Amino acid sequence: MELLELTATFFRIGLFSFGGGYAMIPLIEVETVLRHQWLERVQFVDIIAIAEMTPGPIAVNSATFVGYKVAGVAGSAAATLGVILPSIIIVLLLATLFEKRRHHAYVAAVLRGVKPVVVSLIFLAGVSVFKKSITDLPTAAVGVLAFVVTTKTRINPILILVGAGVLGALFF
Amino acid sequence: MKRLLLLFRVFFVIGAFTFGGGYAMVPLMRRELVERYSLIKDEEFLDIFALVQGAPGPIAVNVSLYTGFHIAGLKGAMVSVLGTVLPSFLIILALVALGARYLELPAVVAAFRAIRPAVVALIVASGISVARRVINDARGLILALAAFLAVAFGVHPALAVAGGALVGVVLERRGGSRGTA
Repeated sequence: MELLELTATFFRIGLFSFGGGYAMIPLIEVETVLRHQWLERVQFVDIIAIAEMTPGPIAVNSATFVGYKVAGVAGSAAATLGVILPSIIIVLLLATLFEKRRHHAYVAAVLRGVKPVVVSLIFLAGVSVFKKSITDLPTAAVGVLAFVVTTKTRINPILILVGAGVLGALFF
Repeated sequence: MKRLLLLFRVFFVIGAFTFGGGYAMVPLMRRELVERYSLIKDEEFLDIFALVQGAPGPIAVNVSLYTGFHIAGLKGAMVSVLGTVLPSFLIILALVALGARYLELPAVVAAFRAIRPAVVALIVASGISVARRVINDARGLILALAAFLAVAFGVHPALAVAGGALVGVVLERRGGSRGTA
């Protein structure tokens, strides 16, 4: 019963959050802290911090964590499934609808209008991580170094992240 | 089969190593799928990135689902989403099993402190590269700046996306469209 409730709750969270994982955080708080009282507020803050610190989509990280707190590994699976199920249904629907119609005049017009907005959302994500991460000279130096390496060489970006991590562990 | 395995591997590695959520992950997907493995054209990938803004849920999950579908049908979609989600799932479970205190070890804290600025660099570099592809006239630039300011001042991102779609359609109806973005 608890598992079903987890899936249903995270399904709602996945369904009603447009704008990616960060947009989900307030919704996750309402559902898990206020409505179901699965977590205390302090725990919620910890979970979001951990979700931000670990790789992968924030929404999946927090669903896995909350699910575990409520009902162990099965809870994690139930919550994660719930949070991605709306995506699976809606994106596949979108994909089957649009796959053949991407060049239709109106679809093309919508895409032409949306793409510049996507560019601004990418930069806003950059600004948001920037504010949380570049706080002094060493962190700024890592940022600049990573930028130069990623734009001037063809080194795999994942290696750049790993390299930054090693650099940090050794010298920070 | 080989293609499905490749898809799984690409998304799994990105899911396992990318800190900072969807907008940090998608640029890596673009680089791997478009530039490294030529599984999809850049044009198509950017179309998909724009199209999935119309769907709710985590951006990284949505982009992996759609690109997986585009490249290898339903199976491709399933394999890709599994690859994206599985690392997070396993890492979080490992963390609760071992105790989140490992995240507080000085070396781990120091590593994260250096990884985050690198994530910023990747996001900005990808923003520039996408902007070069997508913004090719004054109209696009104005739209991007307007959306940036609107969202920076608290407008919901979904509303900005809807606004962009509306502007696109209105300009199309007025016959003001030229070329393809």
